Amino acid sequence: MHCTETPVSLYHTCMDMSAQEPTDEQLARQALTDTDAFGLLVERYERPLTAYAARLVGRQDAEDAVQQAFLQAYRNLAAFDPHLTFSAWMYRIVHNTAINLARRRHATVPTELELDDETVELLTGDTDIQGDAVQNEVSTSVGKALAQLDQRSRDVLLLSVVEGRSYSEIADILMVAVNSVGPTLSRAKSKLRKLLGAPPAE
Amino acid sequence: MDDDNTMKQKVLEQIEHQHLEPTPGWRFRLVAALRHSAVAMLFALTALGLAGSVYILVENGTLADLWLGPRWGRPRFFDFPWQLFLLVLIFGVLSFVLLRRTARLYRVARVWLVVALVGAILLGAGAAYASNLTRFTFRTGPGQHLFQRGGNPFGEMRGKAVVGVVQSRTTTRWVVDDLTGQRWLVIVTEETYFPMGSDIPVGTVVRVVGRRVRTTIYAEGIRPVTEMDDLMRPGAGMMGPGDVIPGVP
Repeated sequence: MHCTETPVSLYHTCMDMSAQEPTDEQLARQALTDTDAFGLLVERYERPLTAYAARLVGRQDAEDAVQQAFLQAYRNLAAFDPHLTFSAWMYRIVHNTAINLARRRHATVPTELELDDETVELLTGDTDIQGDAVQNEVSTSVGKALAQLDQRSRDVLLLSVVEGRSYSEIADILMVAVNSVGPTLSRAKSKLRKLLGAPPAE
Repeated sequence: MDDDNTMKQKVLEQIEHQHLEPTPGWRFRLVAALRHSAVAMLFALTALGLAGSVYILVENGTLADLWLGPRWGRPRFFDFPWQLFLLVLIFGVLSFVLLRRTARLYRVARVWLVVALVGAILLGAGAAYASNLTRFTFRTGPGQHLFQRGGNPFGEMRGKAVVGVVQSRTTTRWVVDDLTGQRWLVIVTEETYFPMGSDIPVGTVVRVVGRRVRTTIYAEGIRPVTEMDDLMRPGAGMMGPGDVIPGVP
């Protein structure tokens, strides 16, 4: 990419390219006065957030939920707590928006999650159930097992194992104590193993 | 425009069409300040109210009258105000839940919130003590027995305490005058319970519980009521006919 080809945008000028890319938090501050900066944030987070929302409430509602969440985030940009990461803040908004949307539309939050192969693999990565079973069966079993977990355990499991969020971020997203995330995750994993009929982890 | 940019496009279009603007920061700060102040005040009021109430209940003997244990239980064990413990527990849990839901306190380790709560209750107890809340217990004046006789509607005999001054005493017979001037003959037996190490000379303010027959009390327990002697003087802490109420023309 040449400097002459770049669009006239604050964040894609040669100067910015030579410098480090602005962090999410910097963009969030700039977005207060510049919608382009917010557009960049949308670009960065659109995919992971849509995937997360889809796991929470299904593909049908995911896109609407994320769109609503972005608009809500834009209106509340000034309330962004600098102690949080922007990522955790956005995940929290998407989490709440998605659940509220599902409740509004279907009067309940779906417990049977739509799991793609990657998610199933991540969730069953440390068990040995995959070797013997057909992929579809595994996916169904994992979906059913997840549905039997309580909401908090399921959220922690998804955020940690599938989304790869740190304990600190999970605490911020779900508004729980940091020191409770580890035990919840551990319990959720062992319950999932038990439900899948896998031997307990050593 | 490829799929990747659809969301961005939609969001930016909506921002433009709806003329959305980020809400000014001062509004969030104002709301947060109001919310935090309200929670802090609630917390302080809870602690103060709890401590003050318990202080009054202890001072006028009501709490001690709430005998929840079996009659064969060791009295010293039930001297401990378990009811206070229960109240602190209930209010503690409520305050705890409230605090956890506020701002970023969900990240704070639980132990620090518990420490803060205990600290606030101790502070409240200190404030209650310093403000001499005992006077309030006798503000109703002579003839109105609001706090004079225990407050335990469930405690049978133990709920009917009499607070008064020991006028004279022998080994088995005491004479006690209560606040209304009523004179009581108190029969003391070997079964009568006295707090460990209590010495009750004539002139002490005591609280007597037991079975009453007219003006005689067959005492089940007698204990001194501390720091209330000044309240037993006639008119102490009470409004008389000649007293001027400040601020009233």
